Amino acid sequence: VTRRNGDRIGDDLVTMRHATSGARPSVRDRAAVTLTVVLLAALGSVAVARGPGREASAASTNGCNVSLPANATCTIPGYVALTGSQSWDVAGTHRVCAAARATDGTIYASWECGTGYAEHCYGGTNSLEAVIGSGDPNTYTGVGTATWAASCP
Amino acid sequence: MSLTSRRSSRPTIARGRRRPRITRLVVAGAAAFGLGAGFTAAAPGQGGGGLPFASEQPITAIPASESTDFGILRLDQGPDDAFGTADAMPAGANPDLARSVEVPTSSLSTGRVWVVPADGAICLRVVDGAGGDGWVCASTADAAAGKLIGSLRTAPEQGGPAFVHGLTPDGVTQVTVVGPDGNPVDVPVTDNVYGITVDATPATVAYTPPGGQTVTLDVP
Repeated sequence: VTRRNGDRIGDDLVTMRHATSGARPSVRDRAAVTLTVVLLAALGSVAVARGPGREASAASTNGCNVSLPANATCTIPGYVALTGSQSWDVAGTHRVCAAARATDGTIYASWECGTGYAEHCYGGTNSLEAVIGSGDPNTYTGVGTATWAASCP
Repeated sequence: MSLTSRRSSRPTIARGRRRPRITRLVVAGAAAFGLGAGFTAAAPGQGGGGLPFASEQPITAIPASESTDFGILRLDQGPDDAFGTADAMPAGANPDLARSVEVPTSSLSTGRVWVVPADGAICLRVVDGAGGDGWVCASTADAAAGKLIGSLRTAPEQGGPAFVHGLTPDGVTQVTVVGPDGNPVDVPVTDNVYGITVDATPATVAYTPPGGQTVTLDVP
């Protein structure tokens, strides 16, 4: 029975092939199909790459990627309902600090400092601006991230 | 007509043209897929080498390598150890697996340091006076080498007060904190953890593990 069904399907395929062979797609049509496939694949890959797990990154930004001399700070501009301020050093060996600035310009609560990496999390209920700072006597490349509208990473 | 004979009767030229076209489409689609994914991965905002302790799913058990090196992670949990949070933790740190130690309070210290096991890393968590969490993390290897240290402070620059907190390997009973005046202060280690508020930085923390060489750390 399966073979018979298969045969019928085969017949249909043959019929279709003959039916379309008389009107072969033009080069322009084939190019359009190829272009469509390429665009759909590219869009699909972007969706896959972002994925649900990356949703949090949509609400965070690397606002600082700078050379930080001793005692220098870098502000990630913009007051948001901040949930996290992360500070790290590309080399992973320097003294880095993370904090947030209140709307009156003062540092909210305190700085958290670590070697290579430090993070300060907030409740997301106050309007704060993320800021990173160097606690190291030597200049290093400091990176800072502000996170909001997502949990502290 | 048998299936075999029908297949053999198909014009070979048609088969030859059809498959390459499909192949080309697949190849083009795959290439575009890869190009799009690569573009997304390298999109602005993800630079700087990436978050070194990026958020990930929390671990479900304390890694053996961490409980081996740190006795605090072999202790039963007390009522103040686990802490609930809506936050995703760095490096898969799991607050349900945390242990904590009481330390002296100060203007910067709310009196407790949490040791939070993570995926290939260990984190310390402290709570500031405004209810925020301060986190520092180190790889398990660096932590085992006694390099996990953090400070809550009023300013990043040296000179001001700081609540220094850190983790030592098993067997260390005290650390010596030396401030800018050069005077040493011995600070007890409780279950691998120490915490003290110093009036001024820079400061160093030094300790000697049993049978080992003295480790000296700059207070971050």
